[in-house]
Amino acid sequence: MQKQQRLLKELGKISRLPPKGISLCAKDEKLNILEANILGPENNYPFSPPSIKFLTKVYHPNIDDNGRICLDLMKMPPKGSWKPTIGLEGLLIAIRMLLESPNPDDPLMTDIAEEFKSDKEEYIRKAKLFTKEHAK
Amino acid sequence: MELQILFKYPLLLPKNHNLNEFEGYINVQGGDYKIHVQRVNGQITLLHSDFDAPHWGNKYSDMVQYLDALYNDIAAKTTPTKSKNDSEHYRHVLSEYLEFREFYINVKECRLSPDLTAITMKIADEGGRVQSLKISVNTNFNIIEHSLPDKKELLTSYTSLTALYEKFLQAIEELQPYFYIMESLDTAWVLDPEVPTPKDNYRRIAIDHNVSLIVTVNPWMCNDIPQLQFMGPERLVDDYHFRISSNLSNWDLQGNIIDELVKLLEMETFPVKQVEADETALYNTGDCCICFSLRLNGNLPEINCKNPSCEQFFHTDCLYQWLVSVGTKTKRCFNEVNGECPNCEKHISCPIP
Repeated sequence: MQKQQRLLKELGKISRLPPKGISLCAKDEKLNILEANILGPENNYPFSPPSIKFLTKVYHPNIDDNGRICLDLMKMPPKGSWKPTIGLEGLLIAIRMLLESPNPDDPLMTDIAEEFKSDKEEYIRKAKLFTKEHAK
Repeated sequence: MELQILFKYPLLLPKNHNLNEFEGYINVQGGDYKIHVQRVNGQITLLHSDFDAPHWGNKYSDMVQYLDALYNDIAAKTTPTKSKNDSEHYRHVLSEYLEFREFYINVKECRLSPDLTAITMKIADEGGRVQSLKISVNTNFNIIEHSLPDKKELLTSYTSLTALYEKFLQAIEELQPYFYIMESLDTAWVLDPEVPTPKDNYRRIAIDHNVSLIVTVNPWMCNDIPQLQFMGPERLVDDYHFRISSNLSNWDLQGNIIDELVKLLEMETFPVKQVEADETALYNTGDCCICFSLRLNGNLPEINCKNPSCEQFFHTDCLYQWLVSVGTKTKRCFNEVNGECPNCEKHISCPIP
């Protein structure tokens, strides 16, 4: 009894005033099964950095197999240094600079970072090979 | 005998020459009641009514007696309604309106709504400005909307349309100096309001690279010195404040407001509007450097970084949202938050919107 009464109240309130990105509805008469939908948070640009990833495979200490980029500017403070004044242009320039000069001290790919530090010639050879193969 | 009916119940009309059938209204205590009666074979029958009429059967054979009885019955059941007599009311509204239309030729546009409950008009004043007016009509005439700056006295109720119009004209007359002042201010580079209306009694005008001045004029006392408020970097604003305090005594109440302001602020002229914004820049001086625009939900950037080498502008909403999203570096203190300027990273504070 309490269950029904209370659930009806809760369902009523949530359908009248649904919290942002949340919906809830009953799937059966006895209110034994409820279905909720939660929308993931939207990117809140420019208050948070945009998500950027490479579509082209890159052999680079700071770029992983899925194209994710490890860049200070693309993380929120205090860990990162994103600021709303940077903008897309600034970010893309920074990413181009990262391609030019990798940062092996904050690596995403430890093997490649190790190689970059110990055997730079081998690293450059492999990077060139990757570029020839993927960056067309 | 039947003539008596016409005298007593003028809204009842005979349906034929025999005068044994009548249709129309009987007026009881200010209310109109629709009936349709017939006398057949010396008996009165009520064929139709728009109210709950008593059933008397064959009690009456005389039309006048029947109507009198009906009248008394309705009168006993109802209470007198005050001025329920609509026709008189409409006659009054129409005569006021027609009289008004005849005598006031400087009215540009005047319309009476088909149900006689509202009048809208447009009036050109001596400066060629068009003022508009909306009047609701019930027992009196009431101004419910107008284009002038708000004034409580204007919204009172008038028994005559002419009196109302005279009062409105008087207000327009009284406001002429105010309109001239605002038009004079509009020759400067106005940042806000975007499209001024006669109700807007302030102008935010650009006076320097990144300083603007909000001039607020009291429409009904516009010969006073207007209220002045600066927006911009503190060091520049302080300088302007200093100039005001030393020059205020030279303000000429008869002079042109722009000339007086130029004199007051020790400027040569006011900057003219930059017609073309710099297309290569994402945002211009004075724009918010978070949302890259001047206007956000109608608001202008109110916050200016106090660091002299930064002096960037922010909308309160934008800066607040940024400071809250960085969280850790932001501290709340009473009704403001303190954090780092997103441009120069020096301390900045922001009121909680």
